[in-house]
Amino acid sequence: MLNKLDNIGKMSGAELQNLLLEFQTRQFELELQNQELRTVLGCENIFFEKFPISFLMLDRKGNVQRINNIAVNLLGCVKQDILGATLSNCIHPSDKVPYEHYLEKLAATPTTIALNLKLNRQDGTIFNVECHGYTSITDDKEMSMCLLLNDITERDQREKKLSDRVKQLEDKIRKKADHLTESNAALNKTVNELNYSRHQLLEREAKLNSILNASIEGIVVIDKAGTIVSINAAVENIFGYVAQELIGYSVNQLMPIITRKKQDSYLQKYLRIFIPQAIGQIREVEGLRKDGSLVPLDLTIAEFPLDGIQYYSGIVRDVSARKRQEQQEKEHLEKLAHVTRLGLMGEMASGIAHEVNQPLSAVVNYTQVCLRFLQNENPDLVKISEVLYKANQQALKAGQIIHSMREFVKPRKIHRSTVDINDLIYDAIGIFEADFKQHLVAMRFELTKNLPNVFIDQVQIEQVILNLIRNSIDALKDLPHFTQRHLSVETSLSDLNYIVVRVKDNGPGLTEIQQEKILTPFFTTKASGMGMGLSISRSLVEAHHGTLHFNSKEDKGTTFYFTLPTETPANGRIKA
Amino acid sequence: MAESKPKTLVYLVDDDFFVRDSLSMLIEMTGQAIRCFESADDFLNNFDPDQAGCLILDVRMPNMTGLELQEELVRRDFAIPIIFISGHADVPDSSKAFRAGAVDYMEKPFDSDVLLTRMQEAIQKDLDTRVLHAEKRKLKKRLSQLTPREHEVMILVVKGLSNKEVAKHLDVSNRTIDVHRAKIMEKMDAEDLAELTVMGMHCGLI
Repeated sequence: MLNKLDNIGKMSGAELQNLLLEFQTRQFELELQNQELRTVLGCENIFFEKFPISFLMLDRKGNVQRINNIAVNLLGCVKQDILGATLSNCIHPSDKVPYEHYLEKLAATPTTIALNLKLNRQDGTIFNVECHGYTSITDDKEMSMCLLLNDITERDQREKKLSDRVKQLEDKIRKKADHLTESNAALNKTVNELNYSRHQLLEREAKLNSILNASIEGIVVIDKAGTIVSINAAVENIFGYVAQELIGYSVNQLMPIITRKKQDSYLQKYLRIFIPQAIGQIREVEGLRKDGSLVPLDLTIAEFPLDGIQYYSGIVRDVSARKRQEQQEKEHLEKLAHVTRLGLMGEMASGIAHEVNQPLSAVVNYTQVCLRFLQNENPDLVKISEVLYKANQQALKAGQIIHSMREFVKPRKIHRSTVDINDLIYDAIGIFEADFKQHLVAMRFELTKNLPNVFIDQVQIEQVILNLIRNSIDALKDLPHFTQRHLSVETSLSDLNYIVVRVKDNGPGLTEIQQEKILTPFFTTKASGMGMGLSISRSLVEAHHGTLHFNSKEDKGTTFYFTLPTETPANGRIKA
Repeated sequence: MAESKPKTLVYLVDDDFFVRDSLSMLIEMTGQAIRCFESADDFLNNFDPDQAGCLILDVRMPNMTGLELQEELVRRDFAIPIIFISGHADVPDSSKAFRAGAVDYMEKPFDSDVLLTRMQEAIQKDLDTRVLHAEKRKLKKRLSQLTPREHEVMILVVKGLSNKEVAKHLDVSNRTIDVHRAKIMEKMDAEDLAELTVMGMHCGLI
């Protein structure tokens, strides 16, 4: 239209008229456009100021050209101060370099670029913004940069909170997971342990079973009602049942019929009374075998609770072999005793025979001598009477031996009386006068005067004294000729108020071996002895509540001594 | 007893005084000398081996028993006849005694006459044995006086070979044998061939 103006001079009025009309139309259009623009501009201003977005426009150098109030509020600055200035005062020192780079990048790029910036207000508060920027070229070819600032502090905080939360959750989950892993491991471990325990248990059970079944002792486990719960192999052997015939049945199946009569009441009594008493003890009982025979048993009972239920295990040992052996031993002992008695009789018979035959053969010889004397024409009667007297003495001696043997054998009755022990000794010694002379024994008495009396069987204690003196004489006879032969009898009172009688000789004494055996029956040091004297003497003394002992030293001599309680009201006549 | 040695002597060993007393009395009454001992040791220390007689011995005695004494005597090669007297006859004891050469084993009390008879027999046996032993010793002494050659000739002669046979056997002349034989008869104090033969028997040449 304007280029038409070049030709305006050449134009006709109509043409000019048209042109004018065109211009007027154009003007109207422009005014309309202008009005539209004003509206838009007004809208833009409203948009710029009222939209809740911080909005800045920067020039090429980064100086603020325009800033809306929201941005001023955001940045916490004075609008007049910031206009024409850069934002550097508002940017946190750590973000200044990235901001410079950002602006350069923004200038070179036509697209929108975003950047997170840390800003600080003048009051010192720090906050984060998301910066969206784009470059626009103005009409006057000036480049301007628009920055939209979005306060993301809250968002960040939210995000942070969220991420913290997420983190916490993750932590929680991780922890939970860890915990679960741990639990799982623990569980696995437990399972393994359980497996191991189970294995061990099985092994132990196998071992126990092998022990139980190898045991020669039968083991029966019953519950409180007397029902058999388990048995071992030995039970089968002892009673002749197999396990199936017993397990689940009452234990009284194994008890003798006689006790089964009152079965249940008995069993109850048995369970209630007998078992608690028998626990920990060995009882001899009888068991009933399947074949009806009885078997002697040693029974021990143990008690154990399992899952709150009381059980009893009875351990039974078949003692029939032992019983048999005991019986055999008893029979053997009886036989032995019989043999011993026979041997004793033989021994005694031999002893008696020898003891008696000595004086008897002397008698025979003496009388034969007398008979020969009498065959002479003028018999020497004095000589004959001498020899006859000897024969007489020897015959008496033989009788005495028989008598004393009978005393040994016959059952004794004690006839006690009050006796002065010294008197008894004097009386007893008289018998040995001839022996002392013949064997050149120097006899000495060392009797304490005024001793308390003893309450004794005179014959028996005399027998003891005679025996001891006879032994001493026999010992002294073994001494070489022309050796001084001493024999002494002493009496005294001991501290314990016992009468002590000592028979002491200086004979050859006893060897250690002899000392060990001297008091045992049938031991003798004499060729013709029976070995009965001392053991009988000792038993006689002990029957009087005394003791008989000896001291002996080889080549020095032997002392035998015995004690007797003195007469007291307790053992004296009062009681007798 | 000590001054004039009796022809025979009886030894009695018994530990019982009255047995010794009575038995010695009885034996002395027969005119037989007797010596008593109360133990085996006592006897062993005092007996005379050259004295003829017998031993009456108790079996059961303290220390050494009669049987042990018998063993000891056998060991000492003293062959005195023993009559055992025992208070209690015991078969093992008696058989042991007999095996060791006892002449008798009597149980006490015994019949005195029987004992005296046995005692006499035992003494006689001892005397005979002693004579025989003395004879043997005498012959052995004579025999020992022969030269080895004479001893050789004697063995052949008592075996019944004639002089000729002996000469031929020893590869010497008859004359030499005659000389040997005369010498033998002289040294052995033999009257004739029969006596020499008996002597040869006693000396164990045949």
